[in-house]
Amino acid sequence: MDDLLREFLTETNESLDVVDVELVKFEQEPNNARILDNIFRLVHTIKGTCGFLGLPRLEALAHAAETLMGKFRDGAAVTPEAVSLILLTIDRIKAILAELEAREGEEPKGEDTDLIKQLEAMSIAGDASMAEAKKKPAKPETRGTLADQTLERELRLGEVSLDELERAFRETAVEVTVAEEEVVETTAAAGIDFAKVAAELDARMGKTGPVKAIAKAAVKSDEDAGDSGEAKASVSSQSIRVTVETLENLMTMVSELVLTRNQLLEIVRRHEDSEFKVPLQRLSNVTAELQEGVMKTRMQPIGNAWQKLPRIVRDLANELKKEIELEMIGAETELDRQVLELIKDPLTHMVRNSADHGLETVEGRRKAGKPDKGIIRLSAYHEGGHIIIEIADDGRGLNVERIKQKVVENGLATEAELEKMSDAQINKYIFAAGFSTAAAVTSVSGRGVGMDVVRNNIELIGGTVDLKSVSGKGTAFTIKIPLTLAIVSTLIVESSGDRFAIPQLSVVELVRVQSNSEHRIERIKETPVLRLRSKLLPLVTLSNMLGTADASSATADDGFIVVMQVGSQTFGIVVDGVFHTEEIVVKPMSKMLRHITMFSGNTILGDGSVIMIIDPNGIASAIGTSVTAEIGDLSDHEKVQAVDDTNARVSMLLFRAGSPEPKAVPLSLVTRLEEFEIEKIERSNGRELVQYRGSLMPLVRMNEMVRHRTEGTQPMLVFSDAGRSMGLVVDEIVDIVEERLDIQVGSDIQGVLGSAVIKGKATEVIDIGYYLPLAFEDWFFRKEFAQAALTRRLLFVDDSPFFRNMLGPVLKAAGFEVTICASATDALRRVAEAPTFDVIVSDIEMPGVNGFEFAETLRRDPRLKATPIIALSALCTPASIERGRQAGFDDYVAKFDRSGLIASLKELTNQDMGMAA
Amino acid sequence: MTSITGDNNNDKGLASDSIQFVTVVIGGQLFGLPIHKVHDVFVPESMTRVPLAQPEIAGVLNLRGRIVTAINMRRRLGLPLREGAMASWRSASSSAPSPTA
Repeated sequence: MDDLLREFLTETNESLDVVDVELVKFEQEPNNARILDNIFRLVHTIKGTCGFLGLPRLEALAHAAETLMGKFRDGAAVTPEAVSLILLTIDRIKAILAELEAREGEEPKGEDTDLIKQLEAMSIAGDASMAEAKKKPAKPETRGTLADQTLERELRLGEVSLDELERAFRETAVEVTVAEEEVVETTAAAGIDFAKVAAELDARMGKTGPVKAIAKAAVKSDEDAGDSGEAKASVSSQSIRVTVETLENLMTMVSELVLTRNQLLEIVRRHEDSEFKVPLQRLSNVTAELQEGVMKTRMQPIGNAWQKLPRIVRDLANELKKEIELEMIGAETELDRQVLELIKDPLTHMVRNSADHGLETVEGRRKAGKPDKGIIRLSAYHEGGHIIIEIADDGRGLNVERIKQKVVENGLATEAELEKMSDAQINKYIFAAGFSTAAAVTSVSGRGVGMDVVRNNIELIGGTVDLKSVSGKGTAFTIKIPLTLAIVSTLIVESSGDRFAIPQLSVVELVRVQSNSEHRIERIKETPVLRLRSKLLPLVTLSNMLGTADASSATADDGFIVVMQVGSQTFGIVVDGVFHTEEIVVKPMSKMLRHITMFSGNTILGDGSVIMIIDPNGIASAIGTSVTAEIGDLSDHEKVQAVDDTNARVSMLLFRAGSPEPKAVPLSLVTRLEEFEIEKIERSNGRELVQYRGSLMPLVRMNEMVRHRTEGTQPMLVFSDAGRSMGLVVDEIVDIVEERLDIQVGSDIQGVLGSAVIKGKATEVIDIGYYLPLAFEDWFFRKEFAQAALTRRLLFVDDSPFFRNMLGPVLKAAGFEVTICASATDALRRVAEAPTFDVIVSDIEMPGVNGFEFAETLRRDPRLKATPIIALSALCTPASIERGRQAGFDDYVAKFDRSGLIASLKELTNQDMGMAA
Repeated sequence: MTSITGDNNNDKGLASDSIQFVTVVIGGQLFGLPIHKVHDVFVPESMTRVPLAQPEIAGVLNLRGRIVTAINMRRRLGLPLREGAMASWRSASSSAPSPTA
């Protein structure tokens, strides 16, 4: 009984969902007899089963609804009120079913006379309106019994024959107006057919085992679904219900079968002419087909997730007094049922949103010159291993001003920040947590939890959501999600002799690198980078990441680079080889291994070996603290500089040391972020040291207040220059932000350049120039500086306050008497006043007079013909270097290459000195 | 296989008070494994090493469609490692739930 009831519950719930949809359709198309037939049949089945199971309350309700629908069928007018009433009844039935489930089979007490009375009244009204025809009451009865029969049948034979049976039956019923005998005969004929199929299946089962028979049935049912596409509704109510667990087990068994087959194939390959060859080939094909079939069973049309939507939209339209049409395109697009479950709610929410916020009221639409009826269009399609779902409405579009207002109110951004953003960027704020623009909280939406939940849910399954909005024209949301979570398409790569799988979802492209080819690995401060289409790409070697690197792989510059994108981060992973792509079934890792963030799981490949699956997020976060800190900023900066130098944003590393107020240092100056175990910190000669990359690195505490930890790890910023490193000990590394650096308040405190507003908070910008000599007294006064340089005069031109602040002290420390100018015009004025500078260092990208023009002007002055001029630029391309040479620069140095600048200064001033001597 | 009398952990509820053990030799020393915890004894064909894993994890392997973590008992017990081939056993103890896809 229990099983039967459970079966009844699932089946009825499913049927009711169909009825919901069909009824809404029916309301629009009251003359479509097929839809009505369908609804009638479903309700009738429910009624029949309820009677059979002894659920009188449900039976009475279903009966009353059926009677009313019977009237429709007989030609009574279909009114929206009647449809609403039936929908109400269906809701009641659903409620009772839910309780039934909760109470495990006991029908809840209660009365439904209110509804039944209304239904009856409506039926009578229908009767009155069309008293004549009462024609065919027998037909549904016959069908009802047939439905009961199908319930008794065993599942293994599948719906194939069942469907045929019914089709045969239906045809007979329509064509033949005469004797019952004939009907019986046709059924008998169908019965024979049934037996034939059964026999065939049995025979096949004998050969290949039960798994195959099921798969066959599944495949057949698929074809069948295709066949009867035009009569789609009747198919959905007839399918085999199998628990997911069964399918999962089946999947495992199939995997095992595949492995065994592979082993057999391997054996046969060793024996040239084996008699097993042919049958094995057949087995191989069958296995492949079987695998495909089982995979297919997990797939479901997305229409299943949309089923409830027409009803929801209809109710909403009534409630909001709007006219809404829901268009659904691509409902047959298939995706994994697990994914399907997960997107159901977000989708519903978004459609509700479109109906509530997106579409205008009828008056509003008339005013805007649009048709009364608003359209919400849902569409789904496949695109490269993803499924794209679009929810578009032709409503008013997002109200950018309102969003701005809300953003400021909720403190998500300042007005100044918003001003710089495009509308599209501002619109994205609707995905921010706790954001809702609905002025009034309706029962539909405006409860404050909204699009952020939607976004989270979608991102949870590896999807993305985007939106486009045109004011007055409408809004369109695009959701991109992977087809399935269980089966992932991966790229199999090799690193240090091991194979790994990288999910293709995050792979952007593959680049082959060779030392003599167009693409080669360059190094910036010993960090490998790849210049790809004028963008710098940070690289990591997979074997280094995984700690499997050996001496041979470390030196190789040949290999493949897998370019990956994770969130906004793009980076390359260097691997030794790339094999092929393979669809794999992700299996969770053992508990003992789950702490390794580099792997998201493992799987068994077609050849039976186990392979680890790389987690792109794990790699990205591991890179985040090392490589991007070193160079990611460089490419960023290049980009920004090219656009607008005055607005240059600088990546700043935020940290805390000693006090709760954040402190910042330009990320570009930091070589690496490290955490050392406290035990690793040694003391020698009154200073703290750690062994770092084969040498001793002195540690400097940011200030006396920095907590001396006694256990765990100590975070620190590592600064390296010319083979020396120092660690600046801090309390906590907070964040990396990109901000315009505008030091507003200067500082007298040693080690602090001043204060700037970063992320809306006053932040101390520290002066690295102060701390470096604390580690090595001679940091800036090393042998490369001739003492004579101390008296040299240097003119430094840079429009960016950041670089002026940063490089000024460095140059001073290098022994120059530095004059700093904020623009080329200012510098030219200074030079004209007193052309006694020994060396000039100038930025290239400056507003007004740029560096090239500046140098050309200088060179025209005979007094300055011999003065060395050094160009300082973020843009170091061969073309710009050539341009610089033509303009009269003596040297061209990358903006972040402090040691390069110092070396160049040394060389040029010494040369100059030599000449003077 | 030896039979050793004991009274602990006998969740199979055998009629007598005895527990059966599978005896294994690790590094020249005899050890006993409660027999109901032993799922399978086999010689693995291939093993995939797991980078960044704890040192005692020898790797992961495929046991008839299930992924099983292999532990190097010598390492786990701090015994000197053996050169050459690796014979391995497996116990399906509580730490190995069946990983279905």
